[in-house]
Amino acid sequence: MRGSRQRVVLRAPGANRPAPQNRRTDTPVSPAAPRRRAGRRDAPPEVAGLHAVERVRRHPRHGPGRWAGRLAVRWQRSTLRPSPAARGSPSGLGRSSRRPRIRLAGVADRGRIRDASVVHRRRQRGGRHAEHGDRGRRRGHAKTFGIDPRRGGRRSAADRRMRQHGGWAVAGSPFTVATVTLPIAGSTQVFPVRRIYCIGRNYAAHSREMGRTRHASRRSFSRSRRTPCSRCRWAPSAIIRIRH
Amino acid sequence: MQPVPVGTVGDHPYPSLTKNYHYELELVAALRSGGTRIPASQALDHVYGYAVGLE
Repeated sequence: MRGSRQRVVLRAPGANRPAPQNRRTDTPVSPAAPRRRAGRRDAPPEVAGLHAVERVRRHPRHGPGRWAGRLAVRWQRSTLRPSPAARGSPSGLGRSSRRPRIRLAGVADRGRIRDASVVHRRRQRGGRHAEHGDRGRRRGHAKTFGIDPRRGGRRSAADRRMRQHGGWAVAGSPFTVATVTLPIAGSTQVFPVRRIYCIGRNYAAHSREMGRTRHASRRSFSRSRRTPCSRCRWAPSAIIRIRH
Repeated sequence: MQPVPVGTVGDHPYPSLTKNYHYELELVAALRSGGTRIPASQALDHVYGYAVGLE
C-alpha cells in the first residue's frame, strides 16, 4: 500500500451510514436528520471562531475527556482551515463548524485509516477494548492524529501549540495539591506519600471489640467482604480503607 | 499526618470534645511501586520500607 498513499478526507463518524429505514413499510424515514451522539458538542457561540487552544482555555469543557480523540481531530482540522469567523460568517457558526469534515494533517493510506477508525470506536466504547491491543491501537491512533511514534512523537502543529501553552494542565486544573512527604530514617531524603491504604484483616473482631460504635459512619470505610474497593481485589474478610 | 522521626517524641493535641478516644498501632509498609497480579514471591520487591503508625 505504500505506493498508493494519498491525502484523504475523513468524514465525521456515522456520515456514511445508510439512511434509516422504516422497518414496517421499507421506506426511508424522513427527513434524515443527522444523528447527534451524546457527548458531542459544537462550540458555543462565545468561543466559536477562537483558536482551539484558546477555546479550551476559556472553556474547560472542551478539554480532553472521553472524547479526547475526536476533539484532537477537530483541532487538527482547525489548524488547517480558517475558522468560521475568519471566513466572514456573521454568526461565527458556519456550516462546517456544525458538521466537521476532518482532514488529516499527515499522509496516510485508506486501509490504515479505516482500521484506525474501527479501533478508535472500540476505544471510545471503553471496556476491555480500551486496554487490549494496545500496540495496534496506538499505531492506529498515531496515524489518525498525525502523531507518529517512530518519528519521535507528536509533530502536528496543534500539538506544538498545546505544548507551548503548557499542555492539558492549563485547561483543567483549578488548584494544585502540595506533596505530602515523610522523613526517611537514616537518610536526608523524604518519602512522597500518595495514598494510604488501610488494611485490617481483623476488622470484624475489632468492630465487635469496640462495640460497633466507633465506625458507625461508613463514609471512608469500604467493608464489603468480597471487593473492598473497586481498585483492589482482596481476600475475603479483609478490610481496606483508602485515604487519598 | 504527623511525622515523628526516630528518636524523637511526638506531641499530639488531645481532641477535647471526644468522649471515647482510642489509638491503634499500625504496621506501615511504604510502597515504592505497584501493579496488578503481582506474585506473592515478588510482592516485597514493591516495598520501600516500613514504619510504625499510630492512628
